[in-house]
Amino acid sequence: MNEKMEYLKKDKNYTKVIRTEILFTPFLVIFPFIVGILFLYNWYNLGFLLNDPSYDGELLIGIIIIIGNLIFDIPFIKSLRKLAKDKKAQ
Amino acid sequence: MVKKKVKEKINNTKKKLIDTKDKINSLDFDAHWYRRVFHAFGASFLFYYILPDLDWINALKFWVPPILVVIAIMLELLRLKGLLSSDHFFGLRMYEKNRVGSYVFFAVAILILIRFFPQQIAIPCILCACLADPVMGEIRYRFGKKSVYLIGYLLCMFFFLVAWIKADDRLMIIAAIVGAFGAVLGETKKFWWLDDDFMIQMVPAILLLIVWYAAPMLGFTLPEPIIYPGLMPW
Repeated sequence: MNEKMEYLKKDKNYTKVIRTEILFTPFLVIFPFIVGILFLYNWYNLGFLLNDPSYDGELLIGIIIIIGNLIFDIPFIKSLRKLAKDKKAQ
Repeated sequence: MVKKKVKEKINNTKKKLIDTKDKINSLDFDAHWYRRVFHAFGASFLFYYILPDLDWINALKFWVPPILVVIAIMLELLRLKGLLSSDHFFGLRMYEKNRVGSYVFFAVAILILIRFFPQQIAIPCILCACLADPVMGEIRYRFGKKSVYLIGYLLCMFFFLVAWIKADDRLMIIAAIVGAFGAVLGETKKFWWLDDDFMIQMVPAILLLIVWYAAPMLGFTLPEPIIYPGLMPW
């Protein structure tokens, strides 16, 4: 990898710093799914039940948000589990 | 006797809390995937368009996005001045050490789009930055540069087709071709002072704004919004 594209390394003194990645991760993973489901909820109640096709956009955007996030959440969670396993093995 | 038991319980709870804290602190995060997830998370800002059309919600919609952007800019200023450690900013790249982090560019572009552009332009541009950009990055990372442009172009084109689905077929195709071209161009043009997270959103948005104003002159009817203010389950 190009040196410029490498990630900044953190100090190992974790207990003294706020680890933003720990604070943010649940939110980063869960919130997009809540939003995606809200889109589907709107499509179902206003579009599907009332037979109004003008709400189909909500269905498409909801699906895009959910699938788009799943594509990256799965390898992210896998990488978390792998790093935890590697640490245990050490 | 009772006091002793209570003290023991408190000590056990304290020990458990310390163990849990140690476990959490020992967690390692992969910066690469964290950055990708952060990108994809940005798609949830489309939530803005689905919020119900109520006075107090409209007031929040007006004030909250700029406040969040100002907070991000202030944090970056503090980091660049050395008043806040870079340790707090997980997933930053080396080139961002002495430059404004790309998340600020990302946020500023989203703010400009939702404030000043019609949603038919803003939504696909935001999706390009949030989903197409990390996909293109991943393709470049794994398979090299050759396939990036084609796959990126097709993916961006898909987002523009979805956002202009209510337009006349010819206008929808023109918007998709122009928008996807702008997004790929924005992603590939990198400047030290201007991040591709900004360019991938603003270049297609400006090109599409030209299409937006030219369309009525060419006899096209502009499409309806793709998302309407909705219901909340509560």
